[in-house]
Amino acid sequence: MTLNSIDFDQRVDKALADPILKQAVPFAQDKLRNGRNTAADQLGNIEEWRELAAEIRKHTIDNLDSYLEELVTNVRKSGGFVHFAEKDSDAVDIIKKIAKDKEAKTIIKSKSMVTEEIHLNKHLEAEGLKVVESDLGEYIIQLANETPSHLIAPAIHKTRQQVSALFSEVAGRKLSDETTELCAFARETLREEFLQADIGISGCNFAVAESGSVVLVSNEGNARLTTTLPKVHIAVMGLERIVPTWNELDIMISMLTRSATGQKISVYVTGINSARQSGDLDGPEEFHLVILDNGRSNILGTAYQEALNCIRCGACLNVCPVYRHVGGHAYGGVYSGPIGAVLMPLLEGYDDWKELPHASSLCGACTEVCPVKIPLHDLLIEHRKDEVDQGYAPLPEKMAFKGFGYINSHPALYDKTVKLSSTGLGVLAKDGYITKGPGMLGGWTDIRDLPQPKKQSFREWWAKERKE
Amino acid sequence: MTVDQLNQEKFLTNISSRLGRERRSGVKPPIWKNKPYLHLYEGKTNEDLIEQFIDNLQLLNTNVDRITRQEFEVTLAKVLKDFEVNSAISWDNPFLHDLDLTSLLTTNGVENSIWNNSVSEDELKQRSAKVDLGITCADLGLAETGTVVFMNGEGRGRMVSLLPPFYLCILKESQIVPRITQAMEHIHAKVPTGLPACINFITGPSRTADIEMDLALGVHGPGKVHVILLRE
Repeated sequence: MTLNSIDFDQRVDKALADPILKQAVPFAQDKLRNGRNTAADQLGNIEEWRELAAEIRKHTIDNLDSYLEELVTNVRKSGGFVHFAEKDSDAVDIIKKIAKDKEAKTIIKSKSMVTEEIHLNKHLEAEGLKVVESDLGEYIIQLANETPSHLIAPAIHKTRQQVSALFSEVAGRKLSDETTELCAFARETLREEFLQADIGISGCNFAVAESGSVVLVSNEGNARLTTTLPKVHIAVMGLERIVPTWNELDIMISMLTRSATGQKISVYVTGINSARQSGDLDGPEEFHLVILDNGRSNILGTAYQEALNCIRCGACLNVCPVYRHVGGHAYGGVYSGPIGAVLMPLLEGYDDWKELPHASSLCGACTEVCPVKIPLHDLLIEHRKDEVDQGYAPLPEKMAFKGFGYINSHPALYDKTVKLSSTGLGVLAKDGYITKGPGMLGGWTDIRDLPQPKKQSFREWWAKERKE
Repeated sequence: MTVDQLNQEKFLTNISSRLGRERRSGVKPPIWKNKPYLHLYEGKTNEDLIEQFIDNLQLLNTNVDRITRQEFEVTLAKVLKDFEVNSAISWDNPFLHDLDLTSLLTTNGVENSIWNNSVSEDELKQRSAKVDLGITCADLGLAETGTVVFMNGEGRGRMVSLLPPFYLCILKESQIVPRITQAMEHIHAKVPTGLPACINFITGPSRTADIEMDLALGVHGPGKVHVILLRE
């Protein structure tokens, strides 16, 4: 996907002008954030939990090759098939091949951000396969031909009237906009899809290395249906989504659901340890695990490594003032909010995503709630620095900083400039602020005001103070 | 080496080189000194935990009948009547058989199927999709969350607790443990001898808030859940 800075500005303008978003996003944010805060308060020692969760993630990522090796050895030991995918297209090809081998016609999916990342549905549909999303939110946006706007609540940008219109079209009759009726319709329609689907594709909240298990967290039960009814189950995971043993999983689940929705646990936590075993009367006959890199390994060993600690809870989205104003789609990538602003440039490069690290007020609220202590706002600053180093900063900004650096390292010149700016810019100021600066300063004041320089500089004040 | 093995070696070696070191193998996690969950149940009696289990489920629209073995017959009849149950499917499990479940269901006019190979798999699936009620027992109940935990496999079909609109779980008070920590230890201890294909943790009815953050029950899994807790 190619996006440029005009696209980003347009997306933001569109979001800011959308009256539905203006209402829906803060409403969802408040609900989820309050839930999270209550759950954190109930624990009474949330900092200790975050500390441990972060330690576990760090240890796991530091030893990722070993734990992945253990995981795949155990998956194979219990009869599963393992596929390593370096790029998104590799994962797509692997899944296409399984579908072809199995002569599959229909595929049912449970919610998976990683399959959004590789645009799996589009590719499978191009092969003539019918692909149905089963998470209610994902089903809604699939019908609307849109992408998720929140990590855990993908359709928060849709109103019930819009959902009713989408479902009515499928039903061929007019449905009301009552939640119960809409959900009942989804249950009935999707149940039919489940019962006849050839393949179920799920994501993976956590893979457990010691037993080769894939663990899925869901409230609706669609992840269970996806991994129970079709004859073939394919789980797709990012290479970092792993825990050493079930004991570490305890901490991760405890943190994930509390941070995501404020639930002490989700309605369903399902461990898939293998395909059906002898004597079993249900469950898939074949299990495939697709492990995706797609740019993740490039993050290892860099200043951004902690971004791989992410457990996709969405807590950072729910506290972000920028996300609150623009919602998920304005970010343009599959991952939005603070974690999206950190991840998208890492996974897909600055060419398409250089604006995202600037879509933050750096207030640090994200860092404060992150259950695995990713220093999100520090990483955004790191990106801004790297963008400048790699030449992604706009030319006037670069010149301005170069000039500032030169002046700053020459004290006499600095004094003169400060004095000049005080008198010169004073003319432009109104109520102590300059809203439209001249020349290169315009680059700054286009997006924020500049305080009027004081008559006396700090250096002058200091010199005088020392004399007295 | 096969293509798959080559692929794996390339994939894993790339990771270790990105991490700036040689390949590692067989790493085990350290013993974590920090145990932030301990204070959540230290000093709690069994009675406290049972009450906590019941309270948590009640918050999730799930009622718990805490009864003696002698009261089971009456309680079951009441539950079947309250939820207007005409048909059911239950696990093929000694604990449930000991409760005379099938004959009690029949007495109450409920047609029950048992999850075993006396009928075809397809028939089991069709019945699970059609009946009003699924009945299972559980391995553990988690007090902190109101969760029931069980291993699936053989007579313990996954669909029984999943496809019908109403789900009943029967367990004993002695199966209640403080929290998910104990369940994970239980599973971890079974790893060396092999885990079943599927393990489930279930906490109340299926729910969603995907339409305008408005809570709705039963969108995919059972919308009604009931728990019977047997005193000992």
